Amino acid sequence: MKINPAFGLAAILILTLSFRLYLAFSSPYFDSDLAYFNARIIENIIETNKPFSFDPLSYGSRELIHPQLFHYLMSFFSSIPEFMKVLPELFILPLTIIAYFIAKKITRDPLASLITALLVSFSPALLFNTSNQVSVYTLAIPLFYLMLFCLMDIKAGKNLYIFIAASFLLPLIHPISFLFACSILFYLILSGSESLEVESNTKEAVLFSFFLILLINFILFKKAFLLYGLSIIQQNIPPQLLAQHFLPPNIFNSLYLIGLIPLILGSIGVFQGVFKQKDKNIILLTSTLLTIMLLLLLKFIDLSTGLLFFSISLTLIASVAISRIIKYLEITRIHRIKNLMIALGIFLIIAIIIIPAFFSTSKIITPFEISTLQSLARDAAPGATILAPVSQGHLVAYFTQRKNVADSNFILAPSPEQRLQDIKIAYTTISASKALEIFHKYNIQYLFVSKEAQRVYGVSRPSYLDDETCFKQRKSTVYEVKC
Amino acid sequence: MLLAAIILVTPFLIRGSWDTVGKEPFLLDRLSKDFLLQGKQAQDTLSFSGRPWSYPLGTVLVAATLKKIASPFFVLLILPLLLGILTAGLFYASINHLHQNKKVAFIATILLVISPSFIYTFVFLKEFTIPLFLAMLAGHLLICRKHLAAYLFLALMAGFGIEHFIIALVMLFLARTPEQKTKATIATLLILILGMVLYFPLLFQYGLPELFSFEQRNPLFNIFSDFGSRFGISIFLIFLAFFGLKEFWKEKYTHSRMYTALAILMLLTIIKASFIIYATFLLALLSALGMLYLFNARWESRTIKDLTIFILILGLLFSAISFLNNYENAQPSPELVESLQSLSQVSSPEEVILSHYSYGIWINSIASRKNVMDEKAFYAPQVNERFQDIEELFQSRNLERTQTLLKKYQIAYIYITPEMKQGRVWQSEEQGLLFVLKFSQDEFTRIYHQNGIEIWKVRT
Repeated sequence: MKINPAFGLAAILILTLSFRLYLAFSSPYFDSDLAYFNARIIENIIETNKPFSFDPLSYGSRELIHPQLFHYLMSFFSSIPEFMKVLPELFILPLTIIAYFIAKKITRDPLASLITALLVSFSPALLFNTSNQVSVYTLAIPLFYLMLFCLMDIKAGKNLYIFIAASFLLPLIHPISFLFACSILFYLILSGSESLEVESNTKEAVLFSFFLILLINFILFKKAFLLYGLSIIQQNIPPQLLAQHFLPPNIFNSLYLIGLIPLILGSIGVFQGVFKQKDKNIILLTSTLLTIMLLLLLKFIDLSTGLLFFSISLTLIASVAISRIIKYLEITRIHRIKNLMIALGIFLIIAIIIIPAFFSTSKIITPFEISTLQSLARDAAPGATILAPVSQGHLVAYFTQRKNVADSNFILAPSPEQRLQDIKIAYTTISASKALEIFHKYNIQYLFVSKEAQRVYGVSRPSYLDDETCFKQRKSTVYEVKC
Repeated sequence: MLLAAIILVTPFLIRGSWDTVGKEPFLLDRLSKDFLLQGKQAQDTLSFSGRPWSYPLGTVLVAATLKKIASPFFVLLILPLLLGILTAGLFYASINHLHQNKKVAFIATILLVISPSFIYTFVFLKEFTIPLFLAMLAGHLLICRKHLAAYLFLALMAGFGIEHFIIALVMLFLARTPEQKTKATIATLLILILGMVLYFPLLFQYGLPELFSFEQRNPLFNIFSDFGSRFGISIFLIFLAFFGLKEFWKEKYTHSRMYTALAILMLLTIIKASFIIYATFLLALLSALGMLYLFNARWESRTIKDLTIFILILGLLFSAISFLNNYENAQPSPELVESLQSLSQVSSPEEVILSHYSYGIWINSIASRKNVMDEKAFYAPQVNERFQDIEELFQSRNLERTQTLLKKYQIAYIYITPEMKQGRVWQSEEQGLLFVLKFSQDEFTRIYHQNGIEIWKVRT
């Protein structure tokens, strides 16, 4: 049986899209707090046609710095029904095609490339970070790997012009463009150390892209750079949350997100490609891996983003090992049952990758809690402030259209460290006067005691809420501050 | 030179006023005024409530002398502007003389003039304004082989501060030629003696200055204007300089003096970030060569070449525009000046004012009152102890401890700005001293509250 690559790729695309759409529509809500932040930006753009530079709800009200090309693109297609559910799933789809072509470029083996494309499409880290979410990554990741693909053969066709255009677009979509800039610079260094002659075109493209990404980011984040200097890399994340964002990778969690197959095959691929074949394309992908590792080590990139790009790059390199396994099978007796072996391999991938991926999605809020928040949107005074855990700040602002005390966007946020400390005290203190002091300080009218709050702060319900003269239970999880 | 004039006038056009901004111009204005009235004193009674006079004598002396014949406006604004224009002219002439290439000289001068460190130095009178001009003048004279005059200006530089004294010695070392060996050695010795005469008495009297451990920022903050440095350079200038260095390296060790100068300046910049102002001249030259290298190199893709050079130029312009734009809201604001003038009216000259140390120079210069601490920490008394005490004072909610510390430094007034409440000192409204002030009405009285600025009187 000879698999037609186009047919195979189309099948993977259909499978990926169906799976992702199934996940997206299995819940009327999104699976991350950040999705609601992006949704608010998009809705604001639809309403005003202007960039969302001032958020009246976040941290009481604050200035906002955020690249918004993704949001503009989303708003452009806002006439499509359920566009916030459908479009991100369509944006991420080209990654499957790009992964196929990158793997084909490395291995020249259509079957290995198809398997690689399948592995990339169902990478647990990718699904965890992008499925059922209005995530900027759904556009940034395909663009990131498209640029790497163009760089692999910059002379071919329109690759140069695609690369130029993508270099301009990526920093307008996400600051992850810095990772790209560092990776390609690292590639030049790595090639030099391996005495590999990099083509002039590639060098020129690298230089151009590096400077362009740097300039656009300087322009976009000018205020933040002036305020925080190089510390901007850590996004002004308060010390209480730094450990959570930049934690040294937990080996089991990382293994789960990267996937065991990509990790083993990817490591073999790095060894084969860099040390034996000295393949420039593999060195380019390896430099992405090394840059991520270096940035993770220096705590310049958060763990979740690092693992996401690490897993995709490693899976792409795994194509080398996959191709070798297929070739090996062809020269053994097993060759006779090659098709069965391939079928078994695909079944294994489904069993090891796709099924766990199905369960890897997380639910950050229950539908009941959302309906509670929606009722607040109707009942609460327009200028009211609602206290919620920082991990639900965007969600509260989205559903209630009321102010939050803090959320996960810390750049230019007013006193995030103090606010986080105060939020923790408000949920954990037994003193009503202490809690009231905090409520008055931030002009808080409602306290949201969600499951997430119970999990984060380890309390089912602050005991001071028993004082009915000052606190009135509005819904089972929302309390009104009356004093 | 015309571009230099336009660039240096731009901050005033952006602000729409000729009012002095920054801290150094205020400090130099006060010191030169005092110098005119009392001559050089052993002590500065206002800074740190009294500290050894360890400021750069040269700039104060020049400013005081000029104030006798001209207005403070000329000294603080026009003089730096003129020196900036002359420095740009001398730089152009020197590069042209060295390279015999007008294009290199022209590009290098443009890169110098639009660099934030040049703008910082020549907009208002600063500690670096006059010595930087003297260094450029001496450099030009050395290039034109007028050694004696050059040695004279280098000797003069020694009087403007230890940094400039070091630079004068470095320049002499680099300019040594076999035929000038004796003269250069004599000049070096004379400058060394002059340096000793100027700086050793301070060393003998007060010992080594205390190394301050607070506010240690990442050196990158202070080197690159893009990361918020007051006097840094554009990060794109460094990239271009890298290509310039590559161009120089084609002739290997022919330019060994250039490499030595660059290495010394980089080392000095790591030790003290303000040396980057001197390094800018060298980097501007290297960047000009780098830019020409990029122009002339054979690129596979014309599109990429044009776009890359365009981006680099945009990057340099972005740094300059972004730096110039900062002047729009530069401090002190009229509200700050007004509050400090009020403070001057309600307090007596002997009374000490507590504020964040970043307001110390303005408390001395605008209100003419003593501060507990300011940014000029060189040879200041017990810098680290003061810093820790002030930190404790700001953060403590204990009235007793607060009063002990207030007494220790004889503090009569507390000066609070909105910036202090918004993160510079406190994160929340009832944090530390703010809580004490709010709930100890018997001990403190708020005597001024306008535009978010508060002045509290400490009741004794």
